[in-house]
Order: sequence, then structure tokens, then C-alpha cells
Amino acid sequence: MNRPRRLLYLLVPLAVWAIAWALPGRAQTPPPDARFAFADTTLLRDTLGLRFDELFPLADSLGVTPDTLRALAIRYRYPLRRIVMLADSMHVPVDSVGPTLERERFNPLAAGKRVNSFRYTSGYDVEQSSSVWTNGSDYNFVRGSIFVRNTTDISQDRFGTGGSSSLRETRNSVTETGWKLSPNFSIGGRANLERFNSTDVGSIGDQSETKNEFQLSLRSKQQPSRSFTSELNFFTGFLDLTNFQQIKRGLSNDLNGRLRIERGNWFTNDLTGQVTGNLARTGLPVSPDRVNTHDLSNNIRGSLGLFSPRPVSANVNYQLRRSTVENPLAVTDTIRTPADTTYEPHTHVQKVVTVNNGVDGTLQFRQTNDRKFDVNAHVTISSQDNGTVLNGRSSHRDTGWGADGRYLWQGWTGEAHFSYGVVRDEFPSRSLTGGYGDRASTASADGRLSHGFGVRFVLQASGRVSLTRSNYYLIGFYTNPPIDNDQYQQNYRLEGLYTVSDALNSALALDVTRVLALNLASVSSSSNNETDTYRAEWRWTYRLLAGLTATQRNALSANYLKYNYLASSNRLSLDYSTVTTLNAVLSPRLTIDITHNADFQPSGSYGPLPDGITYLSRSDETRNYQLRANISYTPIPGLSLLLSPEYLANNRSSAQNGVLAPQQLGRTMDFSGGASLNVPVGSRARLTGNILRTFRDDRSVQYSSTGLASPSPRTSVDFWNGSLNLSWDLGK
Amino acid sequence: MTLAAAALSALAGCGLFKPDTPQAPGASLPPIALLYGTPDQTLATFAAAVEAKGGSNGLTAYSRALADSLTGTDACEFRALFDAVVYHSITNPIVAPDGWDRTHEVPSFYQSFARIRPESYVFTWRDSSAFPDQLDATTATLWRHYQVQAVPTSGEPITIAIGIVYPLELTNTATGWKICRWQDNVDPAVGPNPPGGDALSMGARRLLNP
Repeated sequence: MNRPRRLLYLLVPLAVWAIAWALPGRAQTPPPDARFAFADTTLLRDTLGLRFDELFPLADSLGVTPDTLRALAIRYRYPLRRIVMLADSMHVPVDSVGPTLERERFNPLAAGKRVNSFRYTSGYDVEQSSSVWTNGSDYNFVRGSIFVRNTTDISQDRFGTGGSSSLRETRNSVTETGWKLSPNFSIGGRANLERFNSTDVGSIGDQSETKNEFQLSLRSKQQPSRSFTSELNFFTGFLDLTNFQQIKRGLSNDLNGRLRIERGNWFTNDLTGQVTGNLARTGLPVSPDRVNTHDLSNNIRGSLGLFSPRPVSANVNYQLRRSTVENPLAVTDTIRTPADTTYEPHTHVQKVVTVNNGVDGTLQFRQTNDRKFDVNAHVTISSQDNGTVLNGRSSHRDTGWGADGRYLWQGWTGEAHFSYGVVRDEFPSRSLTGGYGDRASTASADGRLSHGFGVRFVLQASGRVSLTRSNYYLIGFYTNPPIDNDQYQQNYRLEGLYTVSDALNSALALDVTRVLALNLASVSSSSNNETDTYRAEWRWTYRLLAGLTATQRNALSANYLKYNYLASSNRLSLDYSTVTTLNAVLSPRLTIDITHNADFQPSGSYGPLPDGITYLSRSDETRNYQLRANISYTPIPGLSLLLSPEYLANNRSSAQNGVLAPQQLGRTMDFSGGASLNVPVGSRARLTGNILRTFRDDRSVQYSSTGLASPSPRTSVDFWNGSLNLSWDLGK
Repeated sequence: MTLAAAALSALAGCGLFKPDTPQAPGASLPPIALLYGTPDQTLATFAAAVEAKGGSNGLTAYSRALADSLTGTDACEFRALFDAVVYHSITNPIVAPDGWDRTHEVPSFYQSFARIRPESYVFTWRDSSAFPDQLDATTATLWRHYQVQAVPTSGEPITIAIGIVYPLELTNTATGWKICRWQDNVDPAVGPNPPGGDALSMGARRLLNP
């Protein structure tokens, strides 16, 4: 053993000492409620110094997933309670808080009397074979009744594969200037300029689009009473659009607005609407012909609330949307006379019509958040006709209703959900002679019962059943429609969590699933099958030392695939997996996570052999191992250094003449290292993001049916990846 | 809680979660005679199974024509090999060139082949005096030309599979002759890219309609 390697042993006691003196882990305390005892507590880990207390109860009461709410908190750097408060005060859903704030920031009727602000952002995202460079600026100037606003965005996307490269450039600029004639009304002009260029090396033709819109702008807002507020905006002017498909010049119009009516505590109605359209002369770029085209799009969305804070309340959401776009199309008429046949090209108008209407409503009975019952129903109708003969038309209709209930009684929490829906799709032009439609009805019910026994043990039992029936019918003449089928699924799960102490807890779960795939017609029912899955999971978490936590998750599952009419094709696949994670917080600046994953999956035919006993005859076996570490060191606030080595080993064997033999071996080593930044640049700018250098080595060996090994050459790649963003704010 | 239990019982009782009873495979077709006593009987049973299109006992007839060394006692395992031109013309083939085995063939390929056309199928084997059968007590090596046609109630038959199997190796087992190795070849008269795109080899069908 050489001397430097012997010296490494000296580091072992040093590492043990460092771990022993490490600080407590930073994971936040999971919620004590038994209903959330089995929630994914990794979502509670702090990131960028934010806390996610009450994440699960808040997400549950808002009707969003916990990871969505967590993502919103990270994106806007707001505590959860503040996001909920903003959503309440702005009367918008929680995921609309950010866009609403951004929109109001540039509303001239909402701006103060003296504003002069400029924001510049520049971002660079780089991946192995692509990069995106974005530049954007927002300028807002208000002096008395005069306002000027400009938003400019430039994006350059580069893609490179196999020695070829392509570039996409998108440039948009919206400039609006005007006068506020009163606090509630402004008049002005708006220029909307858009450019797009696409260049591909080796492509026959590059593509580009130029769009210029110059419009008169009228903005107004009304508040005739405290319970009634509205906005109405109108833009009209000249449109000039040129791209590789069409040239369109004419008059463009945009009428949009919003309305909120509020009556005491019992009635609210939020309505937004927009009608856009243009009257234009349109033609193909390669033809001097021009035809009249009329595009029209309307979109109305609303939300109606009744008795929102009361024990009995209701809300209804509705949407009416229709869009008609007319595009030029080159056609050739054949003119036959007794003497001659001639062909006359001309431009035809092809109409694309899209309709999307829907309404959904919920009636809520709520005593507390733990004792409630909801009934809901929805109808959605959409259709599309793009004017082409083949596959041009389709329609979709979705109706359904459901009920949800939850009841807390003496420490027991019971939850139940039921839904029934019918989806009808029609594709009448799948071929020149016709198509088919399908009617799929889905009934689903699930329930969950949980109870905490003392402070240490939580038990939860859940069950789920669903059935989807798909029936197909012909429209006109069509030769190959899908076959009627039923898909049935039922699942039962029992799990218990035992908390020995703050440092140690363990959970055990047993799960049984039955899935039936049934084709109903005799022509294909021989492939009908049933899959029975039995799964057991055991996981434990133990805080070994103050800053060192170990977690292990073991899973064992067996999948029996049984064919109703072909027992000789029955299969059994087994899966044993163990994931072990060590989380170490060595100091407030240094954290290390190490994860080891082992997965063993034998599978093969399952049936009686000549001795009459049922066996698994292994025909396939997979062994996968993964070792990954994430090391993060923060030398100064706003700068973290990251190291992430990862090793993967894949081994697959398959049966060759009844004997398992190696089929493929794979070894992969990944190593990423870099830095994460969140630092101020001067007094007005900030640089955020991360930049990493990734190295990857990969090698595999393929074995032929005769056992001959053919190793692949080792492949090595290294590339930069990450994303950096600079934002610079000037003025107020 | 009692109310919820009663509601669930009512839902379970009203048939919302009861799947329909499927028709038995090929309920309206006569059963195929399961004859594997000679190589030609095995090929005839195989052809009848393809013509049954999953009906009657077609799947059983098809499955028993293929050698099975894993769950059975056969000396070899069924394996289908592709014409090299066909294999390399497919983008991202789902198996290695020698990777198509019994688990790919039944029931998924058998079922998907039956659904290529809605009409009845006619399967024809043809041999050649230029390639006489090589036969002993335990193995047989054959040359066979095959053609599968979909026959509409009116109009011309449509060829949906055509090609040559050589060598077509069978093994004599305790339950009859079974197909061990199917080396698929494109029919030179048709080529790998037939006009109209229907008259493909079985190897191409295996890769395109797995």
C-alpha cells in the first residue's frame, strides 16, 4: 500500500469526530395529525431558508397538492400563510397570485402618479446538447397623466445533435403609451412587434415570422358601488403578419375585461372575458392571390360563489370558448372542355373551428375541516374541425358527478370518495369513409380510515375500486375500430407507523392489488388476463447522532400475471428493493446525503411443471445497484459548492435454452460538480442559479444467444449544464 | 360511518363495479384439431390457428406449436430471427436481432396479428423441390414459403404477410413436433418494401405489430 493511501486512514477518526459534533438535522417537524402521518415528509425539508409549516393541512384545505403549494412558496419566496392571505385578498386561486401581481404592476390605471422603473433580466440555460439565452426588459414610466410602458423579450435557443445545429430566435416587444384622462380611463397607442427566425443547418428552408400590430388602446375601470368592480379594455388597429404559411394584413381588434360582483358574505361572481378578431386580406407567400379572411375568438371564464364561509356553500366555475381561424390553402381546379383540359390554381380559405365549453359545480356541507361532505358535478364539451378531409374532425364530451366526505370521531378519521363519469369521443373522419366513436364510463370509489393509538402508533386502512368500460361504435364505414373492453382495479392497503422516540420511527405496510384487463369480443378475449400484486414495505428512520439520520426503505412485491385462456403464458415477476439513505449535517455549511439502492427482479413463466407442482421458471433476471452522494458546502451566504458522484450497475440475464445466462451488463459513472448562486451584484442587481460540470462514463457488454460477449466501447461525455439568471432593477 | 358503509354496499350491489362477462374465445368457431404428429401437421395446425384469429382454441393451437423448454420438457425454446434487411430498416427495434422468443410471440403478437385486418384470413404454406425437407427422428429442417391473405366478402384478397422461412427447424417432443427456430426471409419477388405496404414478411410484422 503506498503512503498517500495509508494516510487516508487518518481521515476516518476525523470524519467520526466531525459527525459526532455535527448539528441537529434541519428537517422540520412533521405534522402530528394522524391523517397526514404517512405524508411525504421530504417536502418539509427546508430549502433556501424557507419553512413549510402547515404545508399538508393548508394544501388539503385549498384543494391543491402539497408539492404545488411548496413550489409556489419557493418561486415567490413567500411563507405559505402569506401566499394564502394574498390569494384571499385578491380573490384569486392560490396559483394565480404571482401572475395577478405581475399584471397589476403594469396596469396604468393601477400605477401611482410618479413611477420610473426599469428591470433587466438575462438568463443562460445550458444542457448537454442545447442552450437558451434569454434577455428581457420591463420599463414603466408614469408622470402625472402620461404613461409609457415597454416589455421586450429576446430568446435564442440553440440545439446541436450529431454535428448539426439549429437556432431559434424569438423577439417580442410591446410598447404602450397614453394619457390617463381620469383615474378610471386612459387612451393611448400600443405597438406589438413579434419576430421569429429558425435556422437549421442542413434544412431545405429556414422559417421566419414577422408580426406588426399598431393599435389604439382604451382602458377603463368602473366601480359604481362597493360590491361591483370591473375593467374594460379595447384595442383596435392594423395587423401585418408574414410567415412561411401565409401573409395576412388587415384590421385587428381585442376587447377584454373583468367583472367582480360581491353581495355581503353570500354571493361573489368573478368573470373574465375576451373577444379578439381581425378582418384581413390573406394569401400564400408564393402566390399573388389574396382572399378575405375573418378570425374570431371569444373566451369567457367565471367563478360563482354562494355562502362561501357558511356551513352550506356552493361554487360554480364556467367557461365558454370558441375560436375560428381562417387560413389560406392552395387548390387546383381541373377545367375540362371538349377540346382541352387545363388546371387553374387559386387560393381557398380553410376554416379551423375549436370549441371548448364547460361548467363544474360543488355543493359543500362543512362543520369543520375534519367534518365535511361535498357533492360535485361537471360537464365539458369540446370539438375541433380543422377543415381537412382525413382526421379533420373530433369531439369530446365529458360528464360526471362525485361525492367526497370526511368525518372525525373520537380520534378516528374516515374519508370516502366516489365519482362516476362518462366520456364520449368521436372521430368521424379517421378514414375517407368514416371513423368510430367511443363511450367510456368510469366508476371509482375509495375510502380511508386512520386512527392514532396514543402518541406512538398510527394505523391506517384504505381501499379503492374502479371500473372503466370502453365501448366503441362505427361512424360510417371503418375497418379497424378498437375492441370493447373493461378495465377493473381494486386495491387494499394496511399500514402502521410506530414512533419509538423522536429519534426512531418505523412503518410497515401491506398492499394487495387486483387488476383485470378484459376484452369482451370473442375475437380477442383469449388475451384476457388478471394481475395480482402483493406488496410489503418496511421503512425506518433513526437519528444515529445529533446530525446524522439513517433511513431505510425495504419493499418486496410479487406480480402474478394470469391469462384466463392461456395458462401456459402465465408469468410471475418478483421485486426486492432496498433504499438506504444517510443524511448528515456536519455543520451549518456542510451537508452530505448518501443513498444506496439495490433492486433484484427475477421473472419468468409461472405454472405447473410435469411433476404437477407450480414453479417460477426464471427467464429474466435483473439486478440494479446505485450509489449516489450529494455534498453541499456553503462557504459564504449565497454561494454553495455542490458535488454529486453517482455509480450505476445494471446486470440482466435471460434464459438461453432453459438456462439463465448473462444478456447485458452496464456500468455508468456520473460525476457533477459546480456551484449554486444567489448573490447581490451591486445594490440593484442579483445573480441566481447554478452551473455544473457533468462527467459521465458508460460501458456495456451484450451477450449473444451463444454466450459470446461483445463489449461496447467506453463512452465518455462531459458537458456544462445549469442555469444562471441576472436581474437588475432601476428606479421606483 | 354507518351511512357511508350503507352507501358503499349499495354501490357495490348495483353493478357499477362488476365487469361484463366476456365472450369465450372463438365461441362461434369449430375447435381446431390439435395435431402435431408430423412436421406438416404442426404447420397445418399453426396455419389453422392464424386463420382462427384468436377464436375457438386458436391461441392454444398456436402456443402448442411452439417449442417450450422453460415450462415444458422440450429440447429447445422457440426463437424467431429476422431478415437482416428488414431488421435494419426498422427504427429502434424493440428486441435484439436474436431476441424474439416465445414470450413475444404468444399471446401479444398472435393477438395483434389477428387485428391487422377485420376480414377472414387464409394461411398458405408452400414447399420447394429445390430445398427438400431434412428429417430425422428428433429434428426437422424445412424450407417453406408462406402467405397470409385477408379475404373480404367482395373484392380481391389482400396479402398481409408473405415470405420464406429457411431454415424452419422443428423438434420432436413428447407432445409432438414443435417449431424451434424460425429464420425469416423476405420473398425476393416482393422485396422488403412492397407496394401498398401490406405484403410484409412475418418478421416485419413482428417488429411493427408486436
